Amino acid sequence: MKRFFVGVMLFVLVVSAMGAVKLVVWSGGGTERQGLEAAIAEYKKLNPDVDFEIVDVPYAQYEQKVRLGIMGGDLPDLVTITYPYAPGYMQYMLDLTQYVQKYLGITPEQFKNAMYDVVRIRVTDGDAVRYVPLHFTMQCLWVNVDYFKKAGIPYPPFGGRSDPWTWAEFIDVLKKVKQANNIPYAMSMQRTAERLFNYLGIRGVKILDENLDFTLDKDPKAKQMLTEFVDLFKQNLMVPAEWISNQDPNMAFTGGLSAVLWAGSWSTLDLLKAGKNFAPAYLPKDAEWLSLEGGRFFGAFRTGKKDREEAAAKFALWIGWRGLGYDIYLRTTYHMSAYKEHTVKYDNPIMDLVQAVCGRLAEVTPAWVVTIRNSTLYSNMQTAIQNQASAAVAGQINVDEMIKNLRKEYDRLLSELGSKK
Amino acid sequence: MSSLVKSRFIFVVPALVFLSLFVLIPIASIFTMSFYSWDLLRPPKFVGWNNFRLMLEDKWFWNSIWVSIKLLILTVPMTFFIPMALALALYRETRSSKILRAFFYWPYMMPAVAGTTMWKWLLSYDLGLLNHILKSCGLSPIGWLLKPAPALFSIALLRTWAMTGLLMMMFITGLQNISEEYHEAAKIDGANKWQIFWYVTFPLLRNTNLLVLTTAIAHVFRDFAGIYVLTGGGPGYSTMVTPLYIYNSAFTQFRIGYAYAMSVVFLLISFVIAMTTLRVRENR
Amino acid sequence: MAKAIKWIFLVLALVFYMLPVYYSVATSFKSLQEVYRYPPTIFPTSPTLQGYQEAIRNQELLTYLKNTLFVSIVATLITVIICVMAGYGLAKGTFPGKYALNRLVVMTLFISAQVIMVPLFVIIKRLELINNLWGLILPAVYTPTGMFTAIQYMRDIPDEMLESAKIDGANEWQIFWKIVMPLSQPLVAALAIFSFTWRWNDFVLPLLVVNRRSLYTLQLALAVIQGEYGGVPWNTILAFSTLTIIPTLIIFLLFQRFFMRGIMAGGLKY
Repeated sequence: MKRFFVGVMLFVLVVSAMGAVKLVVWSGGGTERQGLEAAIAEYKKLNPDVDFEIVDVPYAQYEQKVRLGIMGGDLPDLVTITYPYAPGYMQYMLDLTQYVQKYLGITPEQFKNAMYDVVRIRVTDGDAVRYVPLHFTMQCLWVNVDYFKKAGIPYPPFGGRSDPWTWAEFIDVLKKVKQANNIPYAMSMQRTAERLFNYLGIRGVKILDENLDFTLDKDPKAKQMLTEFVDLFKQNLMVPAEWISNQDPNMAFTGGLSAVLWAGSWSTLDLLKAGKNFAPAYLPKDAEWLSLEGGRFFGAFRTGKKDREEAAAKFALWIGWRGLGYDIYLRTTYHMSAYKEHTVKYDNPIMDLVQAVCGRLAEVTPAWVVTIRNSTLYSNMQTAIQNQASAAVAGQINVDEMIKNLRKEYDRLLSELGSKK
Repeated sequence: MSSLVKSRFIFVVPALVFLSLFVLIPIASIFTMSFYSWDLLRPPKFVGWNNFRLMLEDKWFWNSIWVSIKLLILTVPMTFFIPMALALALYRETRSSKILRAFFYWPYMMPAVAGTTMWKWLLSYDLGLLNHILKSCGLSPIGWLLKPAPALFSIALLRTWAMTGLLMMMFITGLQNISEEYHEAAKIDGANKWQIFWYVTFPLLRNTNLLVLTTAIAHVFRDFAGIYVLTGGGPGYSTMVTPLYIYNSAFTQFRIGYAYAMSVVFLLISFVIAMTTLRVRENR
Repeated sequence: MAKAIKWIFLVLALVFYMLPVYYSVATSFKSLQEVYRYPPTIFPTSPTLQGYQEAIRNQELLTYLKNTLFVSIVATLITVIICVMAGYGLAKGTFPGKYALNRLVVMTLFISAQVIMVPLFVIIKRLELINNLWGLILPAVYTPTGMFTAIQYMRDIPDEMLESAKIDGANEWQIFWKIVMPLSQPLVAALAIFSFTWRWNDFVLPLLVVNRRSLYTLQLALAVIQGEYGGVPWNTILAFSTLTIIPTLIIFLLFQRFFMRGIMAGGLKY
């Protein structure tokens, strides 16, 4: 009898252990982890039979780790993926379409159409939905409100004017705010190919066109726009050390040496921590009005284990859909929402401004901004773009040489990749 | 069996097992993979000599080798003589030297990213402590990282700073291996301190000198973590050393085959440099 | 006079070497606002433990410490043993291929972990050492710098000593244990210090091998705090890295005791 009882106990134990699914999640640590943890705590209340293990992977080595995982077959159930790498991993990701109706009670079309267009292009692969948005960001301007007040300059859209600055107005504003506050520079910007792409896009120049052809040496405006970019550093409107030696732009901006920071909405939490009076503003509008999207997506790997895949998909849709876990994630991390007309109750009103400014920028950004950058060709060119621009700002090469070198790099990459796609 | 023991080969065997398994086999596969095109996702594709052909035309790769050699020439004398001077000052077992050694070893213990970031802050043009001090003394600030020459020098300085702990301890170990009798004999012969150093200690340190020199060359030549943080290879490509260039190709562009082809060439160049050093030193 | 020059040199060197170290420790006691303040502050104006609290928050620090200690100590033991043995064999051996093997060791000095990372991962995977602390130990115990240090050290041991022991009837193992090992105390101490520092600060292997939080090492945890983009919480990172240096410092001070005159006076006849 006793033996029987023990046997039953063991059986119950084994079965209950089997019933509980433990999902492994890879995340980049930091705020991302905090956001995931906050959402998971809530999810576990609703689904006590699911458990999670979050494994932090250092951000700088994230892609190495993911690729080695795919190569060696050691994959987590769920993973966050930085946007430039998202297309490369799509084939290893579970198609979430079939679960949308089941777990969210809406059609896949409704699901996709709720996102900003720039997000939808990134997360879908034909009809399939490979990712849900996690944190989504748009480039915008951050202004030092005190400096702008002192200079008596209004800024759009919540600082006394509604329309974005034209380029000429913007340059004028930079000069004035620098002079009025007697600061050494006007604007800080991180050294990345993406920022240069954004600048050139606004000025009506594309590095690659929609067919992924290299256009800098064909576009008559390209040389002038690049020269004007380099001149911003020569006039100390922008901070040379940032583009020459990769100085952290947050240092000059939060330290009060510059009045404007050209950065993503993801800076919000960092800027709040710096404890100064900052506000988001529109990027200027010239030939085009556009901004660059970015961020991290969340997806479930195809692990071949049906019950785990199902549990992973269910959680992914829960944390990635507005009104559910997504809101908890956003409130914790101070990221903006990837969904249109989605109001999140943040505990700091600054986030409403960020959502309004960056949401508007997301709406006006044309699709080509995403499709061009969603290519292997462009992502492999980024290092060269960044280094060539750095050399041009440092005065080691002129703009003509920069364009010529980038053309060479493009041709080499093209021949190596075999095709543009 | 007894000949294995007699020739003392048996002592080498354990190390040889680990060496083969975890260094030689990976190296062999790097040589093999340099003939493939591979992004770690799709299956590798055999491309013959194509990676090497691309390399010949890759101006930035050859530029990076030139930068590496320049950095080597700039850094190695510093990483040789400064640790040697410190070791000479500190090799005796006094209380003060024991404590001071720990301080000089400290930078070597610091995680590379933390140490380099501190340097970056100290050297920053606008916000750096060094320029701040210069400015408050009424001097004009220096663009440590803004021009190719000072940037290269700053990197050399940082490498020296980071490696001194290791090399100083090597010198101290070597110095302590020298019998005091030699010095006593020289003293009796009436030699002064400098003479003792140049004519007695320095020649006796021959194997240690070789150790330090080769270690310094190898470390300066292969490392890139500091440069990655300090300048990211800039301005432009002026501090883009080969390991950093290879790293970028391999792990930001995921051109693994090409990166390995470059690694193969770089390893061969390293090897030539190392052999030259050894030959020059050993023949003396 | 010479003494004065020596101390002036030491003090100047100390300032140069300690400036970044001091600055990082000082920064670890600053608030994040102060970290980003301009002009930079040399002393924390209002010292805070905020960075340290953040560093240990949500971290299973004791687990990481245990893992790191286990890996560092075991790997150091193995490294010291195989390096001293092989150093002796490669310096004083008489087997064919000795020259080539010596050259091979020098060549391995030039190979960085980052370069062989991918094939190394494949081997570790084949040996089923993924998610196993031995996967952090075994691939790392052959250290080129340690090997080379041992070889060069052993070369300085006079052949006469080994010969005279042989004449006295000692076999090879006795020579190694009774003559070579006692002479190698400074070497053992140096190798132990180096190896411990390397394993303690190792980052590539943990990155490749570990997929579970329960197997994290301190350096992996540190790399994770560095987080995603700019605006890095520097006070937290520097607090964490200051904490991680302490054990290495203790090991350094402990092993220094083993540094002593290698070759005892009177032990040699020239």
